[in-house]
Amino acid sequence: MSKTKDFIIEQIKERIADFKPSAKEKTVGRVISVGDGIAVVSGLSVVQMSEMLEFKTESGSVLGVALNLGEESVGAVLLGGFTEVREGAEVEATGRILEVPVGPALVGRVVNPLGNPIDGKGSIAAAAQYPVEKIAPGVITRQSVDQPLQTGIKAIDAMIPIGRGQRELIIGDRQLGKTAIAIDTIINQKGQNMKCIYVAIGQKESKVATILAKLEEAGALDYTTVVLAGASDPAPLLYFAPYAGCAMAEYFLDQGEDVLIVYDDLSKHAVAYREIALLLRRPPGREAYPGDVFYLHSRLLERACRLNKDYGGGSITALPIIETQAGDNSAYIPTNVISITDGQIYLEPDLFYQGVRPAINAGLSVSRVGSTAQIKAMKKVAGQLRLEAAQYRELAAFAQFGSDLDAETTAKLERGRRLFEVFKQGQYAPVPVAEQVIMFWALTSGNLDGVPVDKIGEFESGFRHFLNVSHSELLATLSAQGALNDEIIASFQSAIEDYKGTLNY
Amino acid sequence: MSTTLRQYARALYEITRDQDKAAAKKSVDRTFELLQSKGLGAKGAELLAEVERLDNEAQGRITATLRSAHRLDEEVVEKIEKMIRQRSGAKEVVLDKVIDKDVLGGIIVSYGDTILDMSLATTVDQLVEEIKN
Repeated sequence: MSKTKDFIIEQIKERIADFKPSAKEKTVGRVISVGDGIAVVSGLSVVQMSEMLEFKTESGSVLGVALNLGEESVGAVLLGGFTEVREGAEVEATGRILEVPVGPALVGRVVNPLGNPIDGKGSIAAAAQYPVEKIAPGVITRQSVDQPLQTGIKAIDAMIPIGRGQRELIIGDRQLGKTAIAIDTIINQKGQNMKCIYVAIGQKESKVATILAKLEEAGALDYTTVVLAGASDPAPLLYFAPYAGCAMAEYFLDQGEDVLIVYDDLSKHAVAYREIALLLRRPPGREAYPGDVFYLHSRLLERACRLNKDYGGGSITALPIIETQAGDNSAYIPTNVISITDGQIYLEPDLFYQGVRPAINAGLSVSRVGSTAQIKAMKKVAGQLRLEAAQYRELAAFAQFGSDLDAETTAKLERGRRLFEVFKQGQYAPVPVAEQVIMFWALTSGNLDGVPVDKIGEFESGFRHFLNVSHSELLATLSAQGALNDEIIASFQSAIEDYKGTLNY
Repeated sequence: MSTTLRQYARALYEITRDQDKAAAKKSVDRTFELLQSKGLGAKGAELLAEVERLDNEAQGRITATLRSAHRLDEEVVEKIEKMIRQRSGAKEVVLDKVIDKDVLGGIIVSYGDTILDMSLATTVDQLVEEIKN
């Protein structure tokens, strides 16, 4: 037995031989009062704004962030462990401004806003720690947006194209498909050399579980990170979630990569910030939001940008989501975010219930980057579509009067109906850009005029399948070149005639 | 915005600094009258603590606590006082010596917002963490 004891003692001696104890110097304060997730701390005279604080409790330390720096006390938000922090507890300043782990190890993982994994797949070996708050890149470092971000949603890629580095707002009432558009866009980034980050702010955890399952099924988790601050998480975590997600995106931006980040949704984010600000006794303004609620979103969205070659040439594209109440786009937060973003995608309940899904109102939706973010082929076929859609909507009112219309108007109406049918699309079914171009070409060249309106959907899926099976080299050529020439168009024409030959309508 | 107790204390301190005894007494009485009228009459002890703090600050005097497991030699205590003076920039250090068995060995010095932990207890904790990882 003593041999074992000696052996163990030797082992321990070896283990601690390299150990060098260090004297710790720490800056401390004491909790004066704590409640509602806010702690007021005395002392800490040299603490910085947004510095992380450690509250000593019986069961370990609880993290907090200093947000109110007063003359005599510091107001801090607690990031968990509310019931454990007591009045009089010691608070240590860590000297670190709030930062999160970033790096390739985060891809395919589900984390909370502090970077801790919550998917049960083990710990994350971060490449670096990035600060959650950062000043957006300046004018000189940027480049204008000219590369397309293909969402795979026909209505968007044709009429409201999004570019890499743009901020495009998705806005609409509840249950109209806002998250569906974002998820379809993420799924369509497979093979597009993009990293994706989905930030769920205040969402139901059941909803996020469904989304995760879909992403995994579609193979999107190979390039996507999910940052989750669910509905049951405390307001400070909801407040930091989008900034943490942006910090993770900025790591890839610094490597010269393209990133897509979805903030779902910023309305809940503003509400969480309002909760924190009111508890910190900051004066309430319009709708009880604090005075800097515009800055809350502007500093987040300005970090989405396209950098020029000298700075890596990477980009962050942001798709913020805002939920309106009863279609009120002129409320405080929606108008704030509309003025910050480079365009918006309006979803309307009327369209949704008429069966037009995605329920995008092309007239009110805008992309301020526009056709610069489209490949040449798409620009050629889709250029007129927006105008035609608008004209159809005007004419559709007259269609109710029935028969007494001249041939030209009737033709326009028929074309418009087919246009709206082509734009209808199922969920989780993004369409590659080459196939989109072919469908739009078929529409604008009159090849769909002979197809009954209610068979357009069937025609489209059948034709796309036909192309993938028998004319895949044509699709590949189009994808590679990105532009239409007479040869390609002639090939399309013969392909569509072949396909029509197999139909019985 | 109502005046805080600290502001009353500061006001009293600054007024009485250059006054003679009689005038100073009048100032103190007047201050307490004011506090009474604002409903802060029971806060005499806090007012005193604040005035003392201001005086310490003005004289460059700080209070510090020295925790050790055993009594320390005068030489060692003087060295520690000197270190605290250097680090805090204070001119005078009022050192409160506390014997605390939980320290195990070494010392813990605290003054103002700072704690310098050079104790054996903390070293043992660090060692335990080291072995665990």
